[in-house]
Amino acid sequence: MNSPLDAVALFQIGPVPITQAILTTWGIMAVLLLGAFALTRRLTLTPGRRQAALELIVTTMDTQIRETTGAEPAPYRGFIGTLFLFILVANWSSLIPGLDPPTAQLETDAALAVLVFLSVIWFGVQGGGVAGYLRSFASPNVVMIPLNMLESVTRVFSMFVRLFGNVMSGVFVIGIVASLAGLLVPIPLMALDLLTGLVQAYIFAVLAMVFISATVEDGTPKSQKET
Amino acid sequence: MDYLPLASIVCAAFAVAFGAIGPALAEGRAVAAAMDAIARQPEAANTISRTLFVGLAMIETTAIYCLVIALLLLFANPLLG
Amino acid sequence: MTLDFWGLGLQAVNVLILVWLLTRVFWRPVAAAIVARQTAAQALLSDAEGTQAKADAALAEVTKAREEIAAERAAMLASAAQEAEVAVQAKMAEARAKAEALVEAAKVAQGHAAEAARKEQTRQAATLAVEIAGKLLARLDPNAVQGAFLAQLVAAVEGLPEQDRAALTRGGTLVSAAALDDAGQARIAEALGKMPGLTFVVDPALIAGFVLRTQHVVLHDSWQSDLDHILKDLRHAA
Repeated sequence: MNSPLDAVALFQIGPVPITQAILTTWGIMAVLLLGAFALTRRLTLTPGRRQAALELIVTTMDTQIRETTGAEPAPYRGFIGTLFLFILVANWSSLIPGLDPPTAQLETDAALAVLVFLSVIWFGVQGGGVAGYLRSFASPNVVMIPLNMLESVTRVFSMFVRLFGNVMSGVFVIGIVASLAGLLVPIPLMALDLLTGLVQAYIFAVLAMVFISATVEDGTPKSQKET
Repeated sequence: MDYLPLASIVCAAFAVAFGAIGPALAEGRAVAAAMDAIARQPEAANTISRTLFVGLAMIETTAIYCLVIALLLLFANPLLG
Repeated sequence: MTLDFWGLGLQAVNVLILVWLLTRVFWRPVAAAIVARQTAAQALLSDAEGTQAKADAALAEVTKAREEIAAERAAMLASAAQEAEVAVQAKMAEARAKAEALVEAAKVAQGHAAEAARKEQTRQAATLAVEIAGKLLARLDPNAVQGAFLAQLVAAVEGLPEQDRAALTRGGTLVSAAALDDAGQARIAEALGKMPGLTFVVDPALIAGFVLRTQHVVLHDSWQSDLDHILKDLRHAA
């Protein structure tokens, strides 16, 4: 049995080995972009079913962001929402026979985690400036600086392992079961996998949002926070 | 005789087995508490079940960590080369 | 286990590109559409609120007007009631006054009638009394009565002054109730001093007594005249 931790390079573009996960990611990107382009082509003032569904997605996203962090969703909507949609579609891509979800590969999850790490810095600097971002490490007091610095790495690493472990374990278990009894038996596990994929996508997005908003809040001076 | 593969396999099994105990108990308690809360406040069932699923996923993560460690031992054991 | 850093970087770039493109293609337009519709809905709502306010104002006006009408009506009713009350009072007072006047008049009339009746009865009683007296007197013996009257007449004639007695002798009429006999005529003549030209007339209506008429003097001395006097007095008293 192949190790789930290793990726097989299909071919190389220059120095870059192209794995199946990268190809699937490109496919997902194409599907998402084309779908979004096709769906948002004609937005009118009086929404039809299609537009109502789109607006429902956006509104739900806004509501979740507002509920979990209390922040205005507008600046974060693009990043968090795209993260959620991408992870969700990637997790569910295992429904297509012969495809492994890209999130079952270490590289994809690591890339997502790195992106969250960078986005925390990016939004923190945007919210309170460089000084504000650095000050956010001294919250709630100066003694916590080393712990906060450590935490900023470990929490991202935790997200990385969590997403990878969940998705990979689902794929792994299904692979084992399918190798034992091919027909119909894996179906309940696949259904469970769907739920896990949805919940993990939600958790990943919400955690990223929580980290970002915590950094922004800690970096904002007290006087501005009142406004 | 090389004991390292044998030890790795045994340790991987133990990691998954014992790593599953804690999350299992925790999930049981969480579900019981959620049921209690829903019984008390049926109108808050939506919020409670959503939070329950998220919490279950977080708890499950600890078991997943153990699984990852086990897989590391089995497939990416640095000692085995 | 090896982490392929080329793959990691490539995936990170992929996701970043996806974030950028989706933000441009999906999130912003949909959010803009939501905002646009919310603004439109807000405008509609404010319009509706304006209309509602207008309608409320109109309703308030109508209500006010209705209240005014009601108040006016109540005032008119009150004044009408008051007027009616006053009129009723006046009518009643008038009627009471009229009734009192009528009662008063009736009382007066009744008094008058009673008075008249009483007078009438008194008069009738007087008349009756006089008639009864006359009839009673008529039953007396005419001669005896005439003798008494004759004595009185003689005394009265003798009591007259000389001048009047002389006037009597120049002629007159002596009315008597019963025919005067010669002795009686002689006594009269003696009383007068000489026999005047007296004519003797009999009138039974006198009942008893004499009436002596001369040219200037009438001397009544009869029950008839006495009864007349009494009757007159009685009627006056009534």
